[in-house]
Amino acid sequence: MREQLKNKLITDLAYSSASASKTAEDLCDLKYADLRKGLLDWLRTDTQTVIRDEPYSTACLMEKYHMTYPAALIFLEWYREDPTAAVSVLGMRM
Amino acid sequence: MTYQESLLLTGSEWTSLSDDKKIEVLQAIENHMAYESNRVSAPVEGQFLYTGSDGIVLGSYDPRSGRIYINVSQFDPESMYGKDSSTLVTACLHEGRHAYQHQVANGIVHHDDPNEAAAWRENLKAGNYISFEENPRGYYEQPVEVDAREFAASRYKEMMSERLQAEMDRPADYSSAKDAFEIQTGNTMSDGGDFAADYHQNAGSSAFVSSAAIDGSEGIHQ
Repeated sequence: MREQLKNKLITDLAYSSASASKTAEDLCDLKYADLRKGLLDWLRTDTQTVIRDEPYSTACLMEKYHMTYPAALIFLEWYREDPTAAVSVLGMRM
Repeated sequence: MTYQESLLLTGSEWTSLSDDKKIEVLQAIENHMAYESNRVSAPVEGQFLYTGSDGIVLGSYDPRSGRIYINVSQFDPESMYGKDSSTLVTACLHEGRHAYQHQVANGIVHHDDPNEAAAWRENLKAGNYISFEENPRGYYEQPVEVDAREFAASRYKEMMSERLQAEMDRPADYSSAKDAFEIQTGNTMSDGGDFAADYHQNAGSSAFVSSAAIDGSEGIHQ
């Protein structure tokens, strides 16, 4: 699945090879069932199922922060595991 | 502007400085950091970077121009990070560290840890830097970002000790001296003209400041 994900990130979303490798690895490591299901839907049918974890959702992360759908899935997992760090990056970047 | 002067201006005076003066302060800090790490200093410029209710870009380093950009929207004392200098100074340290990493990766500057230098070189190769929009966690955890964050946090802490020392070493102004005399002698300045004359002779003397500090005259401290 990792190779399939990497190719899709490169061809559909113009990721570089290195960024696609790291992102595919992070996507394969998703632990939460809803996020894994969202990933599989996207991989198989290009569906972007909206997953929410208030106050965030994949849709708002894509719209407000210009994340790709897989990036939004990774963010939600990170937010559940380490909300302080995840939110700090949203609030200020340098 | 010297580094010492810039340190003092990052304190309570920060919010009253003009935008140009704030850039001058940040440039003096960047010049000092460059000197400490034996690298080429980067010009610091104020620029309007992305500022939204959903997030703020505080600073950036452009390796092509070799310039550091600081978000001038945050110079306004009413802005999210404008109430004091801490966030913008940290951003300047962070971006300056990226300048260092690029100079290490390009072989311009020697870095003591060869493994770390190799990791930065790899991370900074074309196509290897992970953007926030592609993978926010990957962006946060990549070697050059981890190092820049850690450097900025630890150097900022040191800067605060240096600022405290600079504030203690700063020659006291007349009003502080007057307070100190009144506390120590129980006199007003009109009773103690001779003391005032003594102070003027010794105004630049750190010995005077130190002894007053040892005596616990809080008025002498800035």
